[in-house]
Amino acid sequence: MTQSWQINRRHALRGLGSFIALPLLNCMRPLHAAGAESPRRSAFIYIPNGVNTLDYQITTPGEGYAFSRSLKPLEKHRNSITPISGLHHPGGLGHHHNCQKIWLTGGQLGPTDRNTISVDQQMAEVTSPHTRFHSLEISNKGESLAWTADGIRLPGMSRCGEIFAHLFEEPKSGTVAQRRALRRKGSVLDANLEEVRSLEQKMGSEDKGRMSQYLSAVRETEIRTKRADAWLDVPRPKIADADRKRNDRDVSQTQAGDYFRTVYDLIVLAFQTDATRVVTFSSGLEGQGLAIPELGISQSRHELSHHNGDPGHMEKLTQSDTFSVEQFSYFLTRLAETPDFDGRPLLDSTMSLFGSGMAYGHSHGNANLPLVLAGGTGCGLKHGRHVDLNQGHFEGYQLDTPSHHYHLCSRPANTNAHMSNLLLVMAQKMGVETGRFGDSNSELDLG
Amino acid sequence: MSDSFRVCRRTRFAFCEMQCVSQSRPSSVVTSVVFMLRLSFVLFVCFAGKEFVAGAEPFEGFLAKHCVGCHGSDKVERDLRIDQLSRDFEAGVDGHLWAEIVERINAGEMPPKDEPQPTEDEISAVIEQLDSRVREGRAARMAARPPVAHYRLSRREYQNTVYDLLGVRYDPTQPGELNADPLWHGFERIGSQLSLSPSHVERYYRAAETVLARAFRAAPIEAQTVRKTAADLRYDGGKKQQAYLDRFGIKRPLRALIFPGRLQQAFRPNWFGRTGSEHSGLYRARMQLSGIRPPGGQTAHLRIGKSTGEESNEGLIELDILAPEDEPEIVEFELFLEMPASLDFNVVATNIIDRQKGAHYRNALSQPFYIFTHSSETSLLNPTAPKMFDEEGNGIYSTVLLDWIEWEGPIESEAERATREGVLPPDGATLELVAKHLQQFAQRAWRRPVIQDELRHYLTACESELAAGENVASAYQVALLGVLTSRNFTYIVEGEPQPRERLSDWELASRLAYFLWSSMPDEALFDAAQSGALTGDGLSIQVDRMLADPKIERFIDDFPRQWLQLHRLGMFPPDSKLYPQYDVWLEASMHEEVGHYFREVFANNLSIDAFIRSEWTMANPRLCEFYGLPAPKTSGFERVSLRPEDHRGGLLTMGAVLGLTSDGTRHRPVHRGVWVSEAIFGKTPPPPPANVDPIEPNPPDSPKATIRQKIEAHAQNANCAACHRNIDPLGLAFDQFDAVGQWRTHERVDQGIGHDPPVDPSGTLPDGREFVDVEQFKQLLLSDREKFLRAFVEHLCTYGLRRVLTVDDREGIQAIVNDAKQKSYQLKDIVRAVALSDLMKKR
Repeated sequence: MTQSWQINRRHALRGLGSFIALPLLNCMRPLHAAGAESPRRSAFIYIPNGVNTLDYQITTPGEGYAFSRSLKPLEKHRNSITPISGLHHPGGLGHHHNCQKIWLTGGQLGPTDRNTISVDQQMAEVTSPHTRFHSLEISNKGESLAWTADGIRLPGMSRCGEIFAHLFEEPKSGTVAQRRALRRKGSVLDANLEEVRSLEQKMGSEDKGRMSQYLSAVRETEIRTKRADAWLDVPRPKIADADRKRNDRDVSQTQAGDYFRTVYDLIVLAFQTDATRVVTFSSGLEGQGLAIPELGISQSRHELSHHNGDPGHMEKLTQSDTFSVEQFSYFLTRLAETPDFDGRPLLDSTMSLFGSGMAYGHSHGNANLPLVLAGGTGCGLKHGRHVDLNQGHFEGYQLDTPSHHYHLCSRPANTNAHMSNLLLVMAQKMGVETGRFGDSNSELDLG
Repeated sequence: MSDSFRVCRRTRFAFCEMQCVSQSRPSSVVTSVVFMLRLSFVLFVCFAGKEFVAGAEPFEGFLAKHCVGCHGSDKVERDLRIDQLSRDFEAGVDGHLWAEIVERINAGEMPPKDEPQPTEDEISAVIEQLDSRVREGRAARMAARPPVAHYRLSRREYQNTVYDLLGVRYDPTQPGELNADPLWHGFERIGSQLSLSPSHVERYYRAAETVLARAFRAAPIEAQTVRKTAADLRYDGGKKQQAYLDRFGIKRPLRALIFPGRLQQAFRPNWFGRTGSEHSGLYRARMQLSGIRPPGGQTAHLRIGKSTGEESNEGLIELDILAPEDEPEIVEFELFLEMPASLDFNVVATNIIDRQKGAHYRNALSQPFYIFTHSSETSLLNPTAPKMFDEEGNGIYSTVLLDWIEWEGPIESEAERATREGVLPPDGATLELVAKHLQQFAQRAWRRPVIQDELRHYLTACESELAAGENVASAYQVALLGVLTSRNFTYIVEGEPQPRERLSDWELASRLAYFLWSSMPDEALFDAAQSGALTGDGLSIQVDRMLADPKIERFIDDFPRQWLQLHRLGMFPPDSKLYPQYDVWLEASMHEEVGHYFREVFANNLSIDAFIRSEWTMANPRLCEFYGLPAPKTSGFERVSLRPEDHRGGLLTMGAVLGLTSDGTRHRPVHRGVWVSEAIFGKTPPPPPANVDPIEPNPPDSPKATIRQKIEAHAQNANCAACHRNIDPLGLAFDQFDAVGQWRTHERVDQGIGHDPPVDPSGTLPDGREFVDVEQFKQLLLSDREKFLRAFVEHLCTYGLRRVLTVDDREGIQAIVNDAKQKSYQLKDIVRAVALSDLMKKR
């Protein structure tokens, strides 16, 4: 990896508009400055429709736990991961597939309940001044896991070639033309804002409805336009040929394994070049989780999850789960073998959360969520244990009596074990100064 | 949706309700409980006074009897005091707790097992009541209108509006363009659903740039015509092949044989030289084609569109090729293309030569030395190649023969150019004149009068561009961009800071135009708004004119798709092993059938009874084949008669409707029931609880059972039965149709002993009326035609008003229903009545 985009700050100031405080461009930071801290990063990976929980559940708490069949591919990362059982989002219970929408927000759902900000976006508020991209949303079907503070879902990119170009390709038009385009865009947005503000003044503070949403969306776009202008003088990172070859291509989603791995490679590359520090990857909408033709699985994850107790379907669901875990394991391996600026593995500076907003898809059971937290020891995480919030609130796992276990996956045994407690801790580790996130009621003990 | 219409029970006295409850309970013990409750009610009234009387809800009896004992003043389990929960459903203060209560009762978790259990009827009633109150409250919040309300245009409306405004074709559904619209029960245009994030703003800006670049090109783009023969397309010029033919003395020209399983090029941008986005536009195609249909096989079907895989493409153009080999036909069509675009030919059939079946087969047929002229000459010309024809000369596969193709474009009509005349100020215009031009453009774009002051900021932007050294045209473009990214363009804005109840004439013009045309008003409608002519006869004249305008096609295209939730068709693609007769062309045909059918009912102003039952449908050859109807002689859709033994007629037994609720492997009676409930009765059943036990699979050693037999468990359990008795029969009536909507008498069951079991489409409606099959079921729906009419009017109003309806709209709806009844339930009259209704004129 060449770090030729490292440039001096004075150079960046040249030609910069006067209207914006210069972002703290991380690429201007000396490579090995004494005391400089490694950036902290987070990735969130969603698998739709829960898992075959009978084959997924780890049954003993603490250290020395035995890996379940589906989680087996993660065994080699035992010291870098923490499987977590027993968490749930209270706002998701009984809300079927909406669980995906609140997975990272901990929000309440319903047509009139606006979602709240997702944890990745809250993190991005802290990290985005340092990076070219605010955050990166990847989603195989276009709808991402990320939600703005106004409760609006961000669209995600799905094609690998598109993601690569977005991150690393210099637009062909050249700096002068881009600067002109940004200037024009800035003044158009400014005029849009002014026009609304003159109406806003005539209205009471309440009942603005869509208008305040419009205002904040346009305002945010304006800030980003200015930031984009500031980044114009910073060349994009040079990508080694091997990496370019591997990532700058379109992989059909019918080649599920190749698709997943290429997406993971792109995330690694984005972190490595500090293009962004926060990434979400939705591997499928609840209704559109990928089939895996290479394993002979032609059904979507949604179809598999409504297995009706059919052993053939359940076996395929387990295979599909294991497959997703394997790809996640690949991601961790790649992070472990890729050095950060300071020479330490990227895995140390990157927290990754893998899992689903559903546990038992057949009946839309949204408790005892399948979650694995990995990496980020440099952010203060410790690993090696199975953190089990069900302990002390039930009579042990009863995988032999599926209906008992399914009940545990539908109704939380430990009603205080909110998933937001985990998201809160992750946000704090990323430098978000807050004591609350979503409906958190405590900080999850991960020490 | 219109569950929000249920009778508002707020003012009913609890007393009446308890009598109802007591009637359904035979036991005298219970009666005494009721008596005590009545007593406590009286006491309560004494303490709580008037407020409680006004707020007494029908479900209070149930709560008092089964819930408040543990969640009330005496005892407070789990911090929940049901007696103190807010009954103000509209404010939605305790909405989530109420939803949780519904859920617990519904799931049978509450009341606990060791407490007295309510009956099925009681559970049913209380869930119905609570759920409908929660929904009413939610609907009111969704329909809430601030003094200035903003309804974002859907992608399709945006597309239509820029076309009508500037004569520009632009496709916002292309990847990277505008974000997909969130749906609410199939509707794309519900204001409270259409929100805005920075990414939307980015995309609107980019869309506006694209649209303006196409409207005002730096240099005009001349249309080009490109012709490719089969020799060019298939044989790289075909010199060698022609020499080969000459050697045999074969006079027939080369033809391209397109077989199912491999795409062939139909359109390449480099045929036109360099082509970027600016070359996007309308292209006209002409091509000479014929088809080969194997005996007993499918009509050759040609699909033209962007490649999506090795053997699949999108269906931009779909053609059934009926012309035989010796009498080729010339097909012409026009197509809007976002350039650069590549299109391919694909023959869609269920029997295809794919890689799995024979890579060698495919390759041999695709080589340049595989030469085709005529079926009678193939074995002579290609002695070693795989056979495409049998000894009698019959085709083995459905194939298409292409002789030549011609493309012309991009084409722009005079009318399109005329829409943007005068938008740009002349060269050397004064600032004053520039401002005037901008004002005129903004009035059309924002669909209302605009004062100069509102455009101040856009003119300032224009001036600062001039100061930055831009020329007038380019500086002015910034102002135009501003007008097109303004909230006044991307949203339909209704109201002013000073609240008012009725729409202004301009707002009414927009509402009508987006209702009937999915686009902005035209000149005549603007003029009518301007001159105050949108009342009384003036309004009727405009609405009648709009109904007769070709743009009504957009309504015919958009409304049924949203009302019937057709986006769900193919969402879970049918398993090709289980349903080998299903393919993408069948799916596209099913989708089109609905539109053609709706158009036919609309154009002839037939009664909406035709949606429930008819003795005809609109079908093309593919559908006729699927439905088992006589093969038509032409390739498009036409009206065909149905006999009773065809088992079709009306929307409910169309392939599209039967298939859209399936999960790809099997039909889902409960989902079908919910769909009927929503689309036909306008009523969304309460959601299922979260922890239902799975339907057990059929054990290999027990007799085969139908899904119907398995879900009969719903009837055994009081908690399930409470809702399912209202839902399931509506879906089970269609049990004679499988997951893709094919008629059947037996259900295919893979595991188990014995024969596949026969299906049973009989059932009992919640009101006790019985039916033996779907025909009788349709008959029962028709005897309730006013119910259907009301639901249909509600769907139309949701679509037209762009919001969820509430109890406050009931009178308005009833007025339309009465009007429509006078007009014999005729479709066009109903749409007209909605357009002319008082409700349409209200904010």
